[in-house]
Amino acid sequence: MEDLSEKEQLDQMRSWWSEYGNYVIGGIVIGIALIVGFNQWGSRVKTQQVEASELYESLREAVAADKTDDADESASELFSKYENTAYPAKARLVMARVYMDKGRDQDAADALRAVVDADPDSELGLLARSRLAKVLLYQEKPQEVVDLLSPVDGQAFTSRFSETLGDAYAELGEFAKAKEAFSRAMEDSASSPTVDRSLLQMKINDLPEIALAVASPEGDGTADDATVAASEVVESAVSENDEETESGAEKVE
Amino acid sequence: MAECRQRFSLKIEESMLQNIRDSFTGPIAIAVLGLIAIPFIFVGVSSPNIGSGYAAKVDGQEISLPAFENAWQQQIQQAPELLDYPASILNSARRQILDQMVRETLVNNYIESSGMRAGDTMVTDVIQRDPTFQDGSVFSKQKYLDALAAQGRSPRDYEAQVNQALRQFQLQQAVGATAFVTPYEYRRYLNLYGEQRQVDVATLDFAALQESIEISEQDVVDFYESREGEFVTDETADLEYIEIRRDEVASNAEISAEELQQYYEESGNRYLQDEERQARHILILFGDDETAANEQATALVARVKAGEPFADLAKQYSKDGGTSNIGGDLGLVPQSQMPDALGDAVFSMREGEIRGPVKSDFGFHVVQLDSIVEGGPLPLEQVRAELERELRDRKADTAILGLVTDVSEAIFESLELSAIAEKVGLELKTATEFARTGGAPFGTNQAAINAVFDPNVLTDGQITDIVELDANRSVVLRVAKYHPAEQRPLEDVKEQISGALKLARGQELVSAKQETLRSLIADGQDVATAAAEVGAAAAPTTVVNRSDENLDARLIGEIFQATKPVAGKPTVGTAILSSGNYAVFSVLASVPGRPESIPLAERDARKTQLANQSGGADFAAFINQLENNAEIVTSDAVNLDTDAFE
Repeated sequence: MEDLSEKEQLDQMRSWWSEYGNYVIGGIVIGIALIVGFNQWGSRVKTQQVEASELYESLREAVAADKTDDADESASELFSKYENTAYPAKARLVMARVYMDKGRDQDAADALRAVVDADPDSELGLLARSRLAKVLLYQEKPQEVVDLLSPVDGQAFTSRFSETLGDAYAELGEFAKAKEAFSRAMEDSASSPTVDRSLLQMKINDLPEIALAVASPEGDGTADDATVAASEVVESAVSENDEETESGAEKVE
Repeated sequence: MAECRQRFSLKIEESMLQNIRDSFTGPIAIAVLGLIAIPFIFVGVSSPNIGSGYAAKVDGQEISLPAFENAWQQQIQQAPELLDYPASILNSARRQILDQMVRETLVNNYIESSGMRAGDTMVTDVIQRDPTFQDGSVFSKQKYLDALAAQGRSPRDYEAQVNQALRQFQLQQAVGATAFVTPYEYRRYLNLYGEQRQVDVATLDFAALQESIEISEQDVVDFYESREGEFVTDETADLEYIEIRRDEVASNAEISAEELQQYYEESGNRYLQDEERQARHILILFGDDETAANEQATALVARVKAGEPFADLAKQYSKDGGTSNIGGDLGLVPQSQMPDALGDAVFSMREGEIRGPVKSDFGFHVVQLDSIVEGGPLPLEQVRAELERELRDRKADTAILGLVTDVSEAIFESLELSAIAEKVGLELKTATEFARTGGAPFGTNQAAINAVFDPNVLTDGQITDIVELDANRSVVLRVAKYHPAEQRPLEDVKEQISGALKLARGQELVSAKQETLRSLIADGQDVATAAAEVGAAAAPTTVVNRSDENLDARLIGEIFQATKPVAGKPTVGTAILSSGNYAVFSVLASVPGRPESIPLAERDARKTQLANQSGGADFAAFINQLENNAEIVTSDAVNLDTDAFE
């Protein structure tokens, strides 16, 4: 009896196997293939990341040795072959600094704009945005600074954004908005500050009071002329006090 | 136990598979089954970390409680004075440590998830350049392995740490070292910090003005009469008291030689010393080749036995950096302070014996036993001071208990304080003019003040109960004479009133003059003329900068805080100087600081410094942003509440 049922079981298993065996084997083969494939893909990604990291390091070395051409070469290899890794964005930040040091502000702006466009809301995106704004301000494009910074919630970068925004508004002659932006920048993180508060306070004090009160385009013009005239008065006084000073006075911003 | 758990979990897996098998038939299901089974085979089921708990979780990544406490202990070792601070400061220091660990975890998570990598070649490069691992400026693998072994770390572990540090550095540099200062920013910075202002200042001499004020006799009388109740003496009490001082009672206690001997015998167990042994050793690390290490150790044993000086051999061969230069000396220690295998050997040797190689967890040891100090109770002479002090304390306890009982009884019998003093043999002492704010001989002791100023004691002549001032002192006291608060005679306070009146009127006068001066100047009058009108001193027109040292710092602060003037319309402001004098100033003009006024070399240095500052701020904002975007949970187990340290 026992023998019979064992034999029966064996027969059952055989028929089950003949029916489904191929599927089982097929399933296992597909499973193995997927795992092997996944692992290979993973290690390929890892290899790419390591290569990108090494290329980035050689870029940094070239920059440190002031070999801008070598740096450019490493950078463009990173951009073309490793765009999907973490390093091109960092390389662009490095190159932006190099370009600024060389007086190539438009190249710096392009590099930073690429980082902003690649991932606008990421930490690096916000960082690059804040730096791009500074370049634009230097390029005398305050309106573009306003367009770049004011629609975005800077989050942890809010104070840094606001300071540059205030500078831009001041350049545009919108002193009330400038004051508001500087004041917002003053509400900085207490435990890990991101702006120079005393400089900010100076910027606020530096805004012309009359223009703030009038807040009209005509008023602005008057204030500016008046300030320039005032500075010339002091200029002569300074020159009297300090013989070494050259007489060429810098115009007030 | 472990086996049991394993079997249990196998059961679960089996039945789980059974369920899946039951509910799936068809070919696709079986393929799926193959798929899910295989990962289990390769990966295994990962078990969650059990026990020990976490201090904080950053996006699910745990900072373990032991790791946090460890970091905290390191902080305390670096700055032991921390422990002297109140709990609130300790807690904020603990909070800082945890924040730091959280930030590091944030950075590590970012590094991992954004796919930053450091290759093996980068890691190797850093290690090979480390002078610690170099032999004559060439990397030495042996030196590397030895150095790690001395710290009990594996190369794998260390290399992983270097890898992590490399990537942290990469990120920090990418954010912090790439900031720049545009020429616009720099010029603006210099315009502001270097700003100069042309000012006229007129100063009112407060002291001279105050001197000029005459306060009449009548003024003083009027003031005195209008402020009745203000010019009164403190209420005080003259005291009689007896004092029970523990330290006096204890030092008066006599201790006989017999008592001491008996006490020593009773407490002999406390002074049992473990046997201690002084041994020397030479440590040979296992290195790559354990047999070779063993042979080297065996050879050294032979050389020591042959009479070569142990100290020289230790110096030359021992890899125990702590002892190799002191002749291999391990110091006089009990067995409990030695590593197991080494301790077993040392404590089974004869004095002068040389033994080895002894194998321990570290390597092979060549051991020589120098001396044995037998255990047993310490001799009486060595512990006499401590025992005498304890005996005295005990005797003082008994004596004080007796005294207190006697005094309490005497108080209960309503004896006079002098009678009580006589009865218990304590001196009756006196004190005068003890006030609500305290006084000799109790200082500001609140218990004494409360006892004296209890109405029953103060005015009704009652004797207090025994008042415990502190652990050492108790008193019983009565008020011998009470001096209530009284109006002080005019004569006594005349000077005081006249001084106060002079100050108040002087301030009124100088403020008024300052205001007159300010409005005169604001109305366009020339500063010198206006100053002459109110008797102020006008200084010649000067140009000042923010860091000017020739002018009062408060004045400079106000001058640069004032609104920028526009031509023909100076800004007028006021300041109270640190000297106490009052000033009015008129800012005639302002001129921004100019880059040209700074030498070129210094200009570049400052620009670099500014760029670094900007980079630091960027990195701070970057980390703050990571923190914004992360889910951070702090465990209650970190104990940041105030009572955790009490």
